[in-house]
Amino acid sequence: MREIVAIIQNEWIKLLRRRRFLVVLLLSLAVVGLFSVGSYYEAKQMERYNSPEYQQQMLEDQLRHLDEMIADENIPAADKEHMKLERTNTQERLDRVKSGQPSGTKMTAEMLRTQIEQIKENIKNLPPDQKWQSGDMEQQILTYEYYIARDMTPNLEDFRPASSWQMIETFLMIGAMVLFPLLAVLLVADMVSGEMTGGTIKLLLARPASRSKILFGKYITSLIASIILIALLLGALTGAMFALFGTDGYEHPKTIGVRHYEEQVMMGGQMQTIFAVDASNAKVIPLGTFVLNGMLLTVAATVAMTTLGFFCSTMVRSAAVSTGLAMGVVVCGTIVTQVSMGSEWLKWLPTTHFNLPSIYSGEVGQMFRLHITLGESALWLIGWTVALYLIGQWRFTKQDLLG
Amino acid sequence: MQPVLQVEGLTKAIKSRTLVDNISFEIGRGEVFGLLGPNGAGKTTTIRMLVGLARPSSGRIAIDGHDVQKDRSAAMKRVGTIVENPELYPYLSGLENLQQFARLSGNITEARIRDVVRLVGLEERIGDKVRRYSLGMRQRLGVAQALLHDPALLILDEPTNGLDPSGIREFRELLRSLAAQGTSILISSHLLAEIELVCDRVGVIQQGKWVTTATVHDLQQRSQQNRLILHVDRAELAHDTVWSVASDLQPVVEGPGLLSVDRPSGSLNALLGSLIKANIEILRIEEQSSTLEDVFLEMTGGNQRA
Repeated sequence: MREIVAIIQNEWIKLLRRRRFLVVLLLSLAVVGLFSVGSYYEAKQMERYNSPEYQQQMLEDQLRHLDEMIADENIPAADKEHMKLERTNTQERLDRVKSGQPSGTKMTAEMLRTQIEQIKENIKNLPPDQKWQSGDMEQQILTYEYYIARDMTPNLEDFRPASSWQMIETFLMIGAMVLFPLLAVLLVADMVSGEMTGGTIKLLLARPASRSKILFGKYITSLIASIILIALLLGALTGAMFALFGTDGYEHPKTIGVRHYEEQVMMGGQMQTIFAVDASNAKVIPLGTFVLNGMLLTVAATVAMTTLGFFCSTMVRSAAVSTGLAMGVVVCGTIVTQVSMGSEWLKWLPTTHFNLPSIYSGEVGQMFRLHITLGESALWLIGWTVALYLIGQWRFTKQDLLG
Repeated sequence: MQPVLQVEGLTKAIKSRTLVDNISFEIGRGEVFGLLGPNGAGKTTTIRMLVGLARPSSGRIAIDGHDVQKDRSAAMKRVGTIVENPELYPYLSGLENLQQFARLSGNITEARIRDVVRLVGLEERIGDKVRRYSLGMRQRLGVAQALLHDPALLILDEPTNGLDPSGIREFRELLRSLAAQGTSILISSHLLAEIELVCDRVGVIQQGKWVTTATVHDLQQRSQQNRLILHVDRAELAHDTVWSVASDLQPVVEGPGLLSVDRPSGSLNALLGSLIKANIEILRIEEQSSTLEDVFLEMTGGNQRA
């Protein structure tokens, strides 16, 4: 035990002193900074677009355009009926914007219940060849039920300003694709190979501590470092988002546990395979809860990402090669998932399971046309983590250091 | 008394190549042992097996009675090593490097670290990053890390590679004083001159095979087997004459009018008398002394050519 503690202490000092941690941390903070600036300007843009002045101007432009078309003699009268109807609608909307009334209405529990009944009726009346659409509709019912259960009266048409939770959710989803794995891998990919390249491994291994212990100490240090790194990154992100957008929007509904199934559907005169929604296991939870769970899942996935980088560092003797190898695996994994959408064997790759939050919600399944659940992905990641560590350990302890 | 290092039948084969072939030797307490051989003879492979960096194909190594394979931790506690160039962490200071190794060895106080730093004469630069050290300073820091835990056996692989002459002299003095305090030292080198000045005994290794174990005194004795070169008018006749009276002097005709013989101990009268009696003109006598280097070459490279 004393030996392990000493090894971890040593490794930690080395990791900090060779500036890897600092460099990767600064890189993460730079990404968070860029994302914050980007999302802030995008939100401003959206706000401007949704401001009454801008809306009024847009609607007036549209009216002018419609008037011109209606006056145009080259357009057949039959088409103009439709345009006149649209003109009336546009005029109504313009009046509403001018009078300062919000568009749409607040949905009371009563109204939501009516809507639910309506949707249920629609599902019942779906013809057999369109049954596959029921999943989406059931998902909507779940959302409405969520509103009712929480006494929320949402205005479903009104413009919803950007919220921190929504931004963090986006970041988690994009980050899990390449950023988080790259950071984790970059941080630890020289843990063993770096000492091989520098030759310091000889002095480290010609000591009482066994090779297994040295490797385990290095691994634990890698895990601690990457978890701290991801935690700092997520902390900085949350702080920045709260500062920019406030803390509202926690209660916004988020559907999780959505599954999918394949269905042969006749579309446009052709049989096509549809990846239809199966909402039977779905649940709606507050977006904030989803984001917090998503952060924990991201940290958990970091363990597997780190193990991948660590494994690469035990496989080759050059620090540059092991870093390149680890980054290559991550990038290739991402590319492969994109191009081999729907292939069942994607499940065998560790990189497919890195995006745990989106597997939790079901979005990964939809994106890559895969049938995976959170439990399954967790098992795959655990399996990969254990297997990679054991292979690395086998190689490290058996290796003759003669070069 | 139990030897500090016992090596029995040590062999390392990789695929069909045998790098180290069935070697055995022992080092006693306070003894400085030289492992001598040309580059590529298997010295480094042997040393790496001794310190547990490579696994022997067969054979047994015990340090202070502890088997390196079976009781690694105990064995390693008694060894300090520098394997080739002391490769330390360049981004840490000298002191931080030593603290790293001290933590791994356990039970090493700051005072002990200070003592070792003083011993190798690095007090003034110990706070500097190793990146800024000269090769000589790195070598000294390498010795410091090897001595931290006060090992019974110090194993040094080509320790003076890249040291300047004054550095080599200082290093030699340090080794001598350590040996005087009871530390056993195994030092490998391809340079005989380096070894003969510090070692008590020498093991010669060539193409993975153990050639001989000898004390430096033995080697010096062998090198004193000097030859006489006789310049004579008729070398052939002189050869036959010497052969008939003293064949043990191994006369050899080296060229027209040149005969070489072993230098007889003591008086030359018997040898010269026999030549004069045979009416041979003796024009000149040269004494040719072979060096330790010649002995070494004869044992290693020379033997191979013969």
